[in-house]
Amino acid sequence: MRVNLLMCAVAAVVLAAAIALFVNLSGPPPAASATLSLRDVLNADGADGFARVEAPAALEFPRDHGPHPRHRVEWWYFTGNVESGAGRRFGYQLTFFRRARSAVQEASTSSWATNQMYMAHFGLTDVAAQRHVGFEKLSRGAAGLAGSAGAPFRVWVDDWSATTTGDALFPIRLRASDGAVEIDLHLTAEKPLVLHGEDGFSSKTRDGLTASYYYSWTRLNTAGALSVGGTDYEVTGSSWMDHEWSTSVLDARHQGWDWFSVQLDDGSDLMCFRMRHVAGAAASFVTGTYVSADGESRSMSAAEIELSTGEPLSAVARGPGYPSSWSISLPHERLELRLTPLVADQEMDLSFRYWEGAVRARGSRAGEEVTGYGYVELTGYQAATTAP
Amino acid sequence: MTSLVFRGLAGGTGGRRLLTPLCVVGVALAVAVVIAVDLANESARRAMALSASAMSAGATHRVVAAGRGVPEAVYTTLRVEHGIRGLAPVVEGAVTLSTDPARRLRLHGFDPFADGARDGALGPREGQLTTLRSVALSVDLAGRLGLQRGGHVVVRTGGRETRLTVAAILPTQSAATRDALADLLIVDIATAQDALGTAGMLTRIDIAARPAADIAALTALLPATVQVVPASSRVDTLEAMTRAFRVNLTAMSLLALVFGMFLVYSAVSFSVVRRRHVIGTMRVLGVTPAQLRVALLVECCLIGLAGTILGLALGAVIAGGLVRLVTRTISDLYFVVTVRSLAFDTLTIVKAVALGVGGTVLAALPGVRAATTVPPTTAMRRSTQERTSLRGARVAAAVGAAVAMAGGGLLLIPTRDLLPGFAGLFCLLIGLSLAVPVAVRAAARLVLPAARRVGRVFGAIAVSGVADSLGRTGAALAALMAAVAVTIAVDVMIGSMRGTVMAWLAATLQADIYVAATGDPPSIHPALIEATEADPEVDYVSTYWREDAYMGSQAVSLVAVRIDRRGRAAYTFRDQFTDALWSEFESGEGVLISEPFSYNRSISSGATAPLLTDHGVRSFRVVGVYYDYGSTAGEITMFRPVFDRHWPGRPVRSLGVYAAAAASTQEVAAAVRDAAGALGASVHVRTNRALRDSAVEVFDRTFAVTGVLRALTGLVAFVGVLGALMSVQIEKGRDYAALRALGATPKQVFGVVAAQTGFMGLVAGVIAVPVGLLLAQVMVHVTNRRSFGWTIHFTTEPAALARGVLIAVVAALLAGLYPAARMAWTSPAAALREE
Repeated sequence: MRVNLLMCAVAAVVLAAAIALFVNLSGPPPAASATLSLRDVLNADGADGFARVEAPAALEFPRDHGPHPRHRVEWWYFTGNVESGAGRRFGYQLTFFRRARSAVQEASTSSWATNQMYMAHFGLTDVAAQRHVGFEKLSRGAAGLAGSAGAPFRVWVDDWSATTTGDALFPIRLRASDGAVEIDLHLTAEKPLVLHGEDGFSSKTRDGLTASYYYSWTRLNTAGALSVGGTDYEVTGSSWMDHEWSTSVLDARHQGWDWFSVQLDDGSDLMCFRMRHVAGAAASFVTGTYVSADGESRSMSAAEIELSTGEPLSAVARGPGYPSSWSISLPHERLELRLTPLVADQEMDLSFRYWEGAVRARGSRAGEEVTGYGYVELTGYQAATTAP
Repeated sequence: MTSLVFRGLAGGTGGRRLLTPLCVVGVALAVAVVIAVDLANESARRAMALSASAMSAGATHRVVAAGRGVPEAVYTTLRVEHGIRGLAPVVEGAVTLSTDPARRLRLHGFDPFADGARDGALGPREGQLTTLRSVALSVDLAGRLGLQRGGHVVVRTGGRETRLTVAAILPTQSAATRDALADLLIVDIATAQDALGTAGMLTRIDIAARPAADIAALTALLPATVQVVPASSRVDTLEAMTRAFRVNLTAMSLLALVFGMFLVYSAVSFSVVRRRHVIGTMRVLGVTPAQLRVALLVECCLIGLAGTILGLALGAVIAGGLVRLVTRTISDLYFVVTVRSLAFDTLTIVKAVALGVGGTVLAALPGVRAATTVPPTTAMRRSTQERTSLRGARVAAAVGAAVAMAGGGLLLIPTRDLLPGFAGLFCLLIGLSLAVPVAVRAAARLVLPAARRVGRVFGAIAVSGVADSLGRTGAALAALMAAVAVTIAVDVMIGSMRGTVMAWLAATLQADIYVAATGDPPSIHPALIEATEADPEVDYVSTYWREDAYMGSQAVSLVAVRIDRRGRAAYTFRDQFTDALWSEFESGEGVLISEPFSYNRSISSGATAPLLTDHGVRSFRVVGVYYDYGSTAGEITMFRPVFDRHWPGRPVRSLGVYAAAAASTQEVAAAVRDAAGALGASVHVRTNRALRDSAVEVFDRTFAVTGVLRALTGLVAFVGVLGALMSVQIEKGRDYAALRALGATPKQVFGVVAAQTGFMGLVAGVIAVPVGLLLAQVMVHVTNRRSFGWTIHFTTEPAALARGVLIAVVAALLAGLYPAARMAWTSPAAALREE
């Protein structure tokens, strides 16, 4: 019975003959903006239905290593300073961002259907060459193309990934590549997990109405391979991992933030950030965490951190005036530090435009010289110039 | 001097003043038809290519698979495990609008995050499309559907309806973009899978340009069931599929050109003859043949140019209508396509000028040569003209016989190429047409005694006048015969095809009720089959499934049927088919192949077909070739139990229900519908009659365009014949005036003219009958067979033949009407003076 082809043929219907000759309903659409505004993505607008971060909650692991899809934004951040056997120094950044487009996912038969979008950024700084490169990947958190899981831990976008290789969270293997630039690093924890703020409840404003859940692994022993400029390097060094989720981390008066992570040679680590207020430095909100060499961590209030910035960087040609250096002073720890970029231009000019770079830390603790390496993140400097 | 020549030649009489516009119209019509078909074909082809690659810009290769498509896990593995870049997954399918089931659109599902799809209004940053059931469409399509941003459109496929919300309206700056997006509903891949019911499957994966070594490496990563093919292969396949169809249309349009040239030839010849006195006088006055030739050719160029310009404008108008018929057929049979703008470019204009001006000059050359090479005194005498023409008619007949034989030779070349087929067809037509003047002369001789008896002196004048004026009427009669022959041939060809398909449908549609699954994949609920079989009113239920399989590296259509003895009647075999073969089909590894499959792949009974089964490659013996007009690509048919052994786990796509002898078909159909409703199964239940009717409807739609072209060609031919015959009669005005002067009444003169033209038309029409039948044979057995691989059973409808003869007589009579009236009612003195 070959009737089915006939049925198909019969089902093929006549194209309508009557055709309107000329239609011009809408003009050209606005050109897609080159970059997204941080504020549009990270503020509380349209956050109805999402879970909010309003109070400390008992974080539970390994569950909370995984995604929190009811919160709108989330990221897993890996940064580190490593060097080759011959002493060639590199900085790297591998970040996985998750963003929910809606609070509720509609039912679908398709495994591609999702409200979860993923973006990954990969940056590599070659200090000897005074060069920095940044790459981006976007994908949907569906069909196995991108996603995250708590146990065993895995977060990935295409073939860029951070994956647990053992039974526990660590060791974690980081892999990312773009053309000839590639990292394949193994991380193991040297210190316990650090909950920032109040048991991981990290306020971004004094009133605590804008906040995130935020924890870090501040010192991760790092070893692996790295390729750049056509050469492969065996590298070792130290990395830092952040995991943070929220529905709104910027309020209407925030421009962006300056974030600092420092690993000092004496074994202590320091994280602090400043939420920059439109009204200026005085209104900005500063907080941080100090981690001693033995892994004891302590939240610091604004009163315990003195932060000042140097001249604007001139090296970022189109740059919006990122500061060129920073001074951090922790009177309580009798610590004075000055952070300077290892390479001036470490801007990530991608879907979001920000500066994320390896820095050298030099200073003194109680009069004794202290040095270290760290990473600095500067966001929201070009907010005024970004198309909505 | 030259200007004097022009001025001298330009002076003319009333008859000539009428002829020039007729000549221009003839050229215009011929150019219009050729250009219209060319434009329609080219526009459809371009739209098809654009549309097929619309959303795959930059893709050089694609990953495809037979059957339902590429499993989406293949894509994920390539990206995530192998880190392959430059891939874009696509889920595509045809949908109709719930508000307008006649409008077919393509639902194109893509991933805004995939490489190459990253910028513009559909990029991931805009993000709107990833919201389920969001759609983007061109501003042009939005306008046609009356949609605005935020509006809704409900699409339907396989009985499933999906309500889409317009999230973006895409601007179409160029005609190419407009055409490419004309029938596309662009959605996220998840929405496409939902709407098409193809969860888990991709239609294909587009691969952006990369070195050949990368393609080889990528191929190595793929499972055996999928393969990498060049991106152009899709467009190539579509072009190959529709090529035969388009070549057939082009052939018809060239026929119109041939008639146009006939028309120009006769008109120019006449205009030269008409001015033989002027030409002779000029030659006596010292104008050189070369100067005269230039002047006459310039005149022809101007006529050709005027005709071309008019023809281009007319062609564009005709093309607008034609392209709809062409794309409708292509959409029905091959691929959903919409043409929004005609592919009007410089090349079209160059073609038109070449055909219009070049054709006119070419057609005029013999006449111009004749007028300018003979001595001036000879040029001024008519009798020589007549004698030359008579000799010319004999030469033409001889040449015609040679051309016709050459055409026959071309047709006998054992090839599947369409071009020799059409070339042979044309040679045959032209060759036989060239013999018409001689045949008419012979007929006139034959009829003369009878005419004298019946019509007395006027009958004799009418008939002998035919033979005498053949020099001028010959070309017109040849054109008239050719036009009528083509009309008859196309009529007979379509009639034969229709008859064949109807008979085939009657034989094929054996079951009383057909039940088709409407889902995607179309699969009938097993419980519905059981319930139907259990119905006491039902005798037997046959099942049907179509599998996209591979024979070697070629994709083939494999049909699995479960039939009983009654179902066997659905197959009509090309060769003897025995019960032993049926048992080999049912219990052995025997398969049946359809005739187009056999034709296209040159395999017949006894051959083996190596098919890629679920368990690897297995060879099956071809036990029979059956007639099938459902597809041009052909198919392989396998008995279901045999199929299940090699391709386990496949569902059933449709059922044929044989009602018990006493049962009511309508009641059984209702019972099936109820059973399906109870199971929540989505099926389409139709009676034998309803299915047959809709199949015939598609057939008729397919040939609508052929009918239109036939009419257009007929129109060109008619104008040609009209002009030529009219000119002859005007030319003979002096003879008729003499008749009047000798005492003939206007009525008698009118009768002579009418009888003469009617007789010529009758002869042309009668000759056209065998010629038309011969051409129809060629179309059925050569061109159509090569186009579609179908065996058509030749049938002749006497009505079609009678209609052809009638057309010839009426056309000739109409052509004679004006001159006859003119001659009959003008004063003889005035007519004589004019000369």
